[in-house]
Amino acid sequence: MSMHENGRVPANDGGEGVAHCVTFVLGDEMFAISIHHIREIIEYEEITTVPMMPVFIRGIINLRGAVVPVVDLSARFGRPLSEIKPGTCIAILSIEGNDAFSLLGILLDGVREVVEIPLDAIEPAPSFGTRLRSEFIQGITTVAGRFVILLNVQKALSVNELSELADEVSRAHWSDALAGETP
Amino acid sequence: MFRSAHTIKGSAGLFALDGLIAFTHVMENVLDRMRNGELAIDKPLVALLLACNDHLRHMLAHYRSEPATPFPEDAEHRRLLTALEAHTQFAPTAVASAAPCPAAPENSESGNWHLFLRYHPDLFQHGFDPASFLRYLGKHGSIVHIHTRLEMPATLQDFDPTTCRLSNELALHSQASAADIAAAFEFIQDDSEIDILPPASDYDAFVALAARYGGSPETHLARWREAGYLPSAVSTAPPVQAPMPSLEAAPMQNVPQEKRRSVDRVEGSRFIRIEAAKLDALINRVGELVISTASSRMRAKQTADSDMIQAVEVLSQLVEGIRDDALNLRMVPISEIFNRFPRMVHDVSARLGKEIELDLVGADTEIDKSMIEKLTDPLMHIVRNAIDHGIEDAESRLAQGKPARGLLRLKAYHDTGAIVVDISDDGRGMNKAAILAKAQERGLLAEGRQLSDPEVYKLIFLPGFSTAEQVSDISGRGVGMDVVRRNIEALRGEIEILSTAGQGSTLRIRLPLTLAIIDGFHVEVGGSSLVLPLDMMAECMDMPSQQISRETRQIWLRDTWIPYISLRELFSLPPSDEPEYVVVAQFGQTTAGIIVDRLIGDIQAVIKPLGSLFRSLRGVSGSTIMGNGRLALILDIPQLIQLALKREDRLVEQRQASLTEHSIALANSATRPI
Repeated sequence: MSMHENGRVPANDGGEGVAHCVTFVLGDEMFAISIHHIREIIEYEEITTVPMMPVFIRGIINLRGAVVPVVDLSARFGRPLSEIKPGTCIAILSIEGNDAFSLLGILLDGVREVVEIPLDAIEPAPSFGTRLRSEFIQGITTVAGRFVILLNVQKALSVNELSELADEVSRAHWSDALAGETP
Repeated sequence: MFRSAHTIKGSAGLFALDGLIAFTHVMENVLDRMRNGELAIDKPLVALLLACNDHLRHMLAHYRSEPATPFPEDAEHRRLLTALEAHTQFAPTAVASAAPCPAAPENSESGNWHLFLRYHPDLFQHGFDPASFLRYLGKHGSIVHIHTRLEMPATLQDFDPTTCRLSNELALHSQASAADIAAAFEFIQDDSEIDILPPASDYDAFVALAARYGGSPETHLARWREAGYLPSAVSTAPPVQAPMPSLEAAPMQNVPQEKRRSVDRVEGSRFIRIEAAKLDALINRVGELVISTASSRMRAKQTADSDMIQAVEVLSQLVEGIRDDALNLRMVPISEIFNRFPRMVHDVSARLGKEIELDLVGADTEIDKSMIEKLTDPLMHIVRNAIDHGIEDAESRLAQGKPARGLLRLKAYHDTGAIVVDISDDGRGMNKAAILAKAQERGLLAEGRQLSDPEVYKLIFLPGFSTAEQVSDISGRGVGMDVVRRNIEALRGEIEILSTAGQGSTLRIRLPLTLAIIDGFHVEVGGSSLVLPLDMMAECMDMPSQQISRETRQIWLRDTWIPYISLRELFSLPPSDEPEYVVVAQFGQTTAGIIVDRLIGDIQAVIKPLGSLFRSLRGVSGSTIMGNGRLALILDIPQLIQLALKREDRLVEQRQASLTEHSIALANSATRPI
């Protein structure tokens, strides 16, 4: 399976046959995201929590006047919430939605480096063996001898899917509140 | 209107659009007769003219797309033409009345108005005919004397037949007011020189006028004397070179038109057309300004430098002023929407054969421009519904002792930080039983639920609901009211129904004043900052330890129980161990308490939408950037109050049920044989 059919990640590998990616650590695993998705990476700043939303939505931040939601990638993958550590940062991604690109922040434990990964060094996602939904994975590779999961951002952070999950949680919360039950 | 028809005809002539010329010509004749008062304006005539208006539009669209082919004269075209022609049977023309009327008293020097009309050279090119003004004047009285002057150019080469070189001087015997007479020249007063001297004007007025005329004043005066215009009493020749028009006489006759001219000038300069995007950019910029001022203010306070604090205080007041001004720029009178209704109501009621009087109240109430477009469709829909379903036909109205004419009122006004639009009719009112039956039939209603009146009315907003027995082409497809509600809610507004059977219904739409920047009140819950719109806050107080029913979430406020919501509870936060506060919030007629951790103070909030991820989030309407650069959520008070009220109903119900159960159990245990 070639990555070209699968997503937009190596959008401008420009015949060099390499994907430019940013690697980062999440929990005890190493991930990579194509730099084409990344608008910028900022230091962690306090996030304003938005109540009645799924846990993986940490809240919103003010990015030079724009309101940007921040997703806890670890929680999104069904793992515990990320702890805020000195190296924690927020990567601002530009995600293609139905009709427009939207900005989305993801909470990362620590950004490692920008690497060039030769396309032929990327293996397709294994159907088992990772603790992640396989559709979230663009491919796997090794960087400097370490196992790296290349994320399929379009799938893992699909605006549609995130919104639907958020709809469900906030609706349920509101109707619980209506029923007079302590949520 | 006459002028517009005339302009269309003239312009059509330029492009040789014969079909259009022929049609507008007939229309113009009818309008001309109406203008001259020969035709009374009645309902069929108005309907006919409206239809003609549509037809014209139709024709124009045709010529726009296919300029080469003549307009196909369809049945509608012929029908309108015939109908129009029926109105063009000329009675003895009005020109006749312009001739000296034998009954009019002779040229009495005091009883006549004197009019001096020097037409603008371009008069013909503007599509006017001097004779039409004189004919119109004939309506106000009789023209006793008229003198037409023609200035010929020195050589025939200079003669241009399209230039108007005429002027008229006339004596009019009339009881009409100066304003009425001046009104005859309304269309040309801006270009042409119109002087009107009322009866018994003194000699000075004529002298002043002569001085304003070109050429030698003596010639004019001599001519007027000959025509008998000049008052005979004064014969001593006053100074001819009057430098200024005499203050007593001249301004007086000029008042009506001068005033009108200045009004026109004001009207002309009152508006500037601005691209909407520029305005939005300005408002965004002002938003940034408000935010950074708040942050400067915070920093200044931290320095404890009193001069600095004062300077920033002054600055922030100015910014507040600019904010209000900027937001005001976007406000337009709601008449922009209201003005579309007379025509629509006329059409719909004519099609349904109902007589309806439309009453528009508060059309000058201002509303954010961005809301105008989104509000138009819902309003149209509601009005159409009111005419179709609400107002009965004339017979059943008369049978109920109501006037045959239905009344439909659109009323806009400001109320506690909101704009309210009421659409009321005096029709049959909502049929509760029919709504309930329909809701049950459609499975929209759980069996056995007891609903209050407003709850019953609200059922009509459910998708797929319609109670009209027959689907008409006007309304009744049941696709409308849920869309109406969605549109209103998208504007952060609310819709409410008041209805009395047999007496009519009112749909009340309540909208926020602005969508951009609000005055807010800053509170904290669980360490997070939250903002409430200030104009929905009634008061703040300590959380009472008594006069509170925690079980049903109610607080005793002065003389009544109001429901409350603890934000900690709603947001799934652990209960606070510190004393809490109650913010009493109000929206329309509804009130509820909102429990918060801390009260901070006033704040200006630039509303930032949260984005699609939060589209289902209720209770929060947006966010705003605080002075420290962090975001705070803006609470959606109407939704929170609704939540509190509904929950209150349910909790009280539950409690009563459990009390009844409890007492039944008690009673049972008491009666049970031991």
